[in-house]
Amino acid sequence: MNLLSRHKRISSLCLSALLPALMIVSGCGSSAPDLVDRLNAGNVQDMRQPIPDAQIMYNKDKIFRILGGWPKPPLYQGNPFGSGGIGDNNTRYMYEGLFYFIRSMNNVYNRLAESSEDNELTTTVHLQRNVKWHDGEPFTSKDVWAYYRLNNGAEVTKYLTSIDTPDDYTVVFHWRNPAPYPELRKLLLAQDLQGEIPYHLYKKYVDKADALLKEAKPLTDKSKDGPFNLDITDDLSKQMALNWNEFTRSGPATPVGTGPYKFEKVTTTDMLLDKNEDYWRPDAVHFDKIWIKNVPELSAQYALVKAGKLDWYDGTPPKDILDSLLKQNKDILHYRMYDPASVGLMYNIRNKPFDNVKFRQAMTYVLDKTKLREIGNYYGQEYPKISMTGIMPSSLDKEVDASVLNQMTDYTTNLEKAAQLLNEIGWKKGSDGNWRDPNGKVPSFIIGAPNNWAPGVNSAQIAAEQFTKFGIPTKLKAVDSTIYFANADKGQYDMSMDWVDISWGFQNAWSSMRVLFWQGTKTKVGFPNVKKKDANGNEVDTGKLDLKLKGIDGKVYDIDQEMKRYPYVQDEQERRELIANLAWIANENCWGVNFFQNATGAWLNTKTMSGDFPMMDQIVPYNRDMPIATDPEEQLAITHLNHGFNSSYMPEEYWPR
Amino acid sequence: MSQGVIEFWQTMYRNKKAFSGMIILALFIFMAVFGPMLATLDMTVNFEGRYESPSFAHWLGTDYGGRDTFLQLVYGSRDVLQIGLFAAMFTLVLGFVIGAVSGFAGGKTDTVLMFITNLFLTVPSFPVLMIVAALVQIKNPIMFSFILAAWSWAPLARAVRSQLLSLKNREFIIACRIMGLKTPYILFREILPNLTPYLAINFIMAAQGAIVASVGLMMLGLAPYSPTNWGMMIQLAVQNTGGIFNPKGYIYLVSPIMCLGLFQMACIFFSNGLEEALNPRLRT
Repeated sequence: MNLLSRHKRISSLCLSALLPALMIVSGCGSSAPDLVDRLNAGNVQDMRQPIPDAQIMYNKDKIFRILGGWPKPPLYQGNPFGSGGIGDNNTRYMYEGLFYFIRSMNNVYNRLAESSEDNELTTTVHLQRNVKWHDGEPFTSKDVWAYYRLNNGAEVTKYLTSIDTPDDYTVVFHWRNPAPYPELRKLLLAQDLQGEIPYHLYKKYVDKADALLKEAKPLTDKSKDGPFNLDITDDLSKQMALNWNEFTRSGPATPVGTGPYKFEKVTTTDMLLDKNEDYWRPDAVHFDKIWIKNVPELSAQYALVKAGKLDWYDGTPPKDILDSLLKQNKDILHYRMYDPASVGLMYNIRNKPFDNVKFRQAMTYVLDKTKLREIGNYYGQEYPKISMTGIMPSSLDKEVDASVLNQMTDYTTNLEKAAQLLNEIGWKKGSDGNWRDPNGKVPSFIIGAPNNWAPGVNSAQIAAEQFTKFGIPTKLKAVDSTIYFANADKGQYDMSMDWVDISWGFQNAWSSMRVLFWQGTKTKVGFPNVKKKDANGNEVDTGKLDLKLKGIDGKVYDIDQEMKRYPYVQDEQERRELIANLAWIANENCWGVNFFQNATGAWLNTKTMSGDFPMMDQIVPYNRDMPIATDPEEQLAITHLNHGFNSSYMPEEYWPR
Repeated sequence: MSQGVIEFWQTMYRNKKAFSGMIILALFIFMAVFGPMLATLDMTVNFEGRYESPSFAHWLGTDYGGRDTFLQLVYGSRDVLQIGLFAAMFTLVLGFVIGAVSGFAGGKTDTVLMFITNLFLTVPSFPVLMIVAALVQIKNPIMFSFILAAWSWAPLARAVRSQLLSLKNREFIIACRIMGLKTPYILFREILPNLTPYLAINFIMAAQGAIVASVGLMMLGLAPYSPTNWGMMIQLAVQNTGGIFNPKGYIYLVSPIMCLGLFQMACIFFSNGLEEALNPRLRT
């Protein structure tokens, strides 16, 4: 018995010594050369083009693993316009539009459109002929017509009079006269995913919407907007809203699009998409499945990147985390790019003393943007001279002539100037270092920021500290994002954080100016609206911007009219002048501060996935942490890798390895 | 000094855990009261000096913005202790009064008060706090503490009620009633001393719970963001270091965790001693 146990002990000792050794040996054997090793060895065949299935070593199941979010089952449904949609990023894998565009660079490509041509008042689009919906029905011009008749709130409908479908594969868009300038027409069409409303599924709602539109009379007042140049009465508007609401609740249970992937299944944490075997571009799709994980916690996301459990990840973490992740996983490749968005702060001009431009300018002179950028997003780019112009700062030089830029007030940090402006409006600095308003009161201001937006919260905290140190006590409130935006729009904070000088859709100066004067920035700054009296003599807010300000030439401009005029200005130089004037007005009135233009990134797991990586000769020297490209072709190639700047999906860009 | 006070200190001194807890708590209080007077915290960003290792200049190194971690802890301690102590006090007062009245009065009063208590126990705090966040502007630590207490008194009220149900039928309470003593007198002069050990422990526990919960309220936007609040420091450290993904930030990450842990441990040790000192049945 003892002998046996001694034998057992010896064998177990041997085994325990052998096991780690085996593990080490087997580990060594299976360790694959990392990206830099492969590039140094010239082993780049799989980076030139997709490799045959037999040569795939690490991703034999051909699964593309990414992150995403969606309404949790049982709330999940298949109507992209339904409550919560089908998930924030998932739309692009299952749905397509006639065109798609690169958000940061304005390149427009054909997708469901095979070709298109513009005439003076029409744009004719010829559709791809072999496109099928995921349920097998063909995609035809009737579907494009259905998309706009039902979804008649889509922006482009304001510029159209009608849509004709002379045959199954031709759509003719008739523009209002005057029509938007030609380049804008395509961008307006490219911002929609026309392959989202299959007529054969939603016939009932499309036909109802069409019938309601036919009841409307043509617009006679040129200053008013309406879909298809129609005057939508309140009664019609209510009926359309009712029809739309019924449509959004009508299903189907799972998405039906035309895209390269079909919905397979969804749980709270995972979504699986399956390759669409009937896809009209079969050669463009290299992965069999897309596996989307829902992981909201940032640390857990980094863990997945580090462990190589994701093939593509969007975003740039703080510098030291990025360095650490790249060091710990040698297969990761990280590309940086400028975001067509800036992190910034908006002054609430509904509140005193922010209604005073000199006070706003004084506050702006206090801020040291370098420190805001270092903490908010190290890789971003600050533009110290400007306040907020309504234009993406990196394209300011392209959009605005130097002569106008030179006439803009320079807001580079200047504490003396800030003090001088405050003195001019009757503020005095007390012996305790705090400023006092003309009534002798020490102010106490609040900056609001959405709590889940790290670059905004981090930089706003530094801004609050800079204001406080200057003698204007300021605190940050990091507010739950579900209530923050409603609060900020109602003017609950003295200053609000959000993306500024941003275009959410296509990238041109007018597009980002829309955010400033008509959308998110407008409500947070609190620009006044035109008021009118109703039948009972009560004052009613029309929602229309009421802002008349001096332009660079000293004349007073109605900003709303200028914004509405822009799409119809056919002369490029005149458009440039219009935009330059608005940018100058925005900068001088200092409604907010552009802290820094954001930089984002695309993380690629080069072990399980390959592609024709741009700037390949710089991967080794930069040890996979790629700098922001300066060459426009490389910039474009990088945005392709980042799914058209996170606005589309280009299946042909990646393949399994 | 009265005999009771002397006995209290002797008991505390004999109980090594309680004594060490008391010393640590005293140090934290000293830090909160006098720390900000002894050193000035400069929160100006010095990015090149981020995540520095501990040195004579920076005892616990620096954070992601190159600011001194130790001084942030010192400045944060005032905030943390203020919120903790006020919130614990409100919790205790609300919990005791509601629980005691409910248990002592019985009948309809008991039913109504316990219904309200159960409501506070069962209604999820998050959506209610969201509404509160939209309606209320917190401008000082007292109001902050009150909102924290509003969601923590209910378990204590139930526990006090249970204790009271057993106490109220004891002979000395019946004697008080026969003597015609008024309810407030019986509650505060006869019953309260019997519950003191239990309440003292709850006071400490409520304080540490409030400190942790205060971060949640800050992240809801109910209260201004305080980057030197220990809980918020942990939040910022995790966010800016990715938790474990930035080895340079380990000391910055661990420092507020250690501080909060040490404070909680001190509270538990101290409350352990308090119970022994205040509860005659536990004294040997």
